[in-house]
Amino acid sequence: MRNFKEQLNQELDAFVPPMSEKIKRQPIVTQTPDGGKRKESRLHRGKFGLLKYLVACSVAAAIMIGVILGVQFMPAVAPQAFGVVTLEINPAVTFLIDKENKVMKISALNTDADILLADETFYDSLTKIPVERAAKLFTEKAEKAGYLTDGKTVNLSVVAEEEKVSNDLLSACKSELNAYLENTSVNAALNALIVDVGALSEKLDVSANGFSDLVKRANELPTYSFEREIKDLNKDDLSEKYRENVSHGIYKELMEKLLTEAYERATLVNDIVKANDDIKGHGKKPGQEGGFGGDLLDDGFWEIKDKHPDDKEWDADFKGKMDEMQRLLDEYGNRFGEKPESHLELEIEKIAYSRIFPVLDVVQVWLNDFSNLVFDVVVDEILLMLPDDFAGVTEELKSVQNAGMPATKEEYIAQTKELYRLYAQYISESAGARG
Amino acid sequence: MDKRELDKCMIKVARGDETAFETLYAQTRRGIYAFIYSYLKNGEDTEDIMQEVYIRVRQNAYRYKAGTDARAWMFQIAKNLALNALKQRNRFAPLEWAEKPVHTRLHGELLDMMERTLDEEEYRIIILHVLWGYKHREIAEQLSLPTGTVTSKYKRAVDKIKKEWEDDNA
Repeated sequence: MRNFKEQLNQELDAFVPPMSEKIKRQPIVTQTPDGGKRKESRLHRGKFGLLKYLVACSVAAAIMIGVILGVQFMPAVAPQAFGVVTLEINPAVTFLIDKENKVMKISALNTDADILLADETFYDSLTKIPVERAAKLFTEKAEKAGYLTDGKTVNLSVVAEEEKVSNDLLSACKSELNAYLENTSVNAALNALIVDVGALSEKLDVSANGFSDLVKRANELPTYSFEREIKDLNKDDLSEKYRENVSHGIYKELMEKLLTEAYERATLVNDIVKANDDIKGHGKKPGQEGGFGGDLLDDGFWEIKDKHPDDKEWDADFKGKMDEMQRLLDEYGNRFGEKPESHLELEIEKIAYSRIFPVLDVVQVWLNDFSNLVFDVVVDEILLMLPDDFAGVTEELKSVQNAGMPATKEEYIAQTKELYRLYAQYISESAGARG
Repeated sequence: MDKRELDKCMIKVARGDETAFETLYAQTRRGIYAFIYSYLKNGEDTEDIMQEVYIRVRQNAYRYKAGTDARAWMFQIAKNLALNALKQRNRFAPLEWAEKPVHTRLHGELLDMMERTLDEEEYRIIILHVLWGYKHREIAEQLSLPTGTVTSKYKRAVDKIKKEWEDDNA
């Protein structure tokens, strides 16, 4: 079954009428500057309707005149490339190199590369720099995102028209990448080779006769591998593809990760609240040996740290409670990047995550027993229960969700990129915070 | 179209922009139709009232206050017209949810399922949430219900649809 909202819209289309003549005949009533009413005629198709028309005509005329006079508006040929380099970790990318061995263009060869390159700032940082540096930066990004793990091999393939260029490229890349891999905590190897045009054509999944042809094909590759998949799709196939690849692929995966993190965080918040209540309770027992009789200790742990910091005042039992609280707070900070610094902050965290538990079982069942019918509902529920700006992605995810199914290839590309970017952002930054 | 975009569109309509009105119609027609249908339960009557809603929008867009909620504004018009139509009709022969003549009912796999399994409020809540992107609190304001009631009815509605779907496909 299709997406719930899509199906509902499609079924309603059979009944909902187009705009009737009766509606069109009703003039739009506007307000005059003095507050009176004025009926607009249908010829006024917008405040700047006539102006837009005149501008469009002028531009069209200018283009025609330019063509007649032989003025070129576009460059005749793309800048010449001198080398092609592929880097396969998974993810896999290809770099097109200029005569100074600098990167002219990067293309993703698979989905995982699409995910990393969806961050446009990162993409831009890889261009116009020496290819060996770009390769190192890409490998570093892949490692942070969890793609480069122990035992993996980084495969680099180089092709250039001149042998000397190939040798220089290979040498520079090997040097840079080996230095990087030696200094990283991951135990991974490098396999770098000069290959022939046929081998590289196969990696790019193109058919090329000779180096010039290979460069042309590499230049024609879209930035993202998914753009190749949607090239010949019509609108209905586009929606189906988006559903398969994106909304039921990467989006679902991201939802599951967010849900898992939110649950872990909520559970730990609960443990911290209980530990702090224990401490507060200890303080409320007057006359207790080693306790703080008479003190209300509303803030618990933080109040003790502030008013009774000398642990010689604490008995063994109380010290145990304080140590446990410190351990839980440190765990929270290590896993989620920041810990509550006061009772008030703890209460805020508690309220933020209180929505999760009542609906968690239901949502987990839905995610596990996944069907198209409930996809939108599941996503809505998860986004509703998470605190605003959870993991830095929820507000943007809501925008993608509200955008609905893309209707054009441009929308498909934009929405898919945005989801990939958010996914990469989450797994890199959240993983970093968790250590 | 989200709340902000709809607001911008309505402001343009208020200035007499026909293109903006065409966009408004295209983006809101299904949601308005489904909403009215939840009251009238009859396709022909729903069409008439829906037409009237958009005529009223054209007549009164200049009264719309920028930055408020264009969706809620349109829903209020739709609801008032639908309830008036019901009052007119109920003087003669009120139709129960399950008793309406088949030829005036909406047909479709999902629409049939929703009519079979949901009560009126659940149906309306699903329409507002799925087609209009309303949050539960907004639905509660729109339907004059407590937020908790909307949340629990919504969950019940989704569970019903899910179960019905699974049973149909078993």
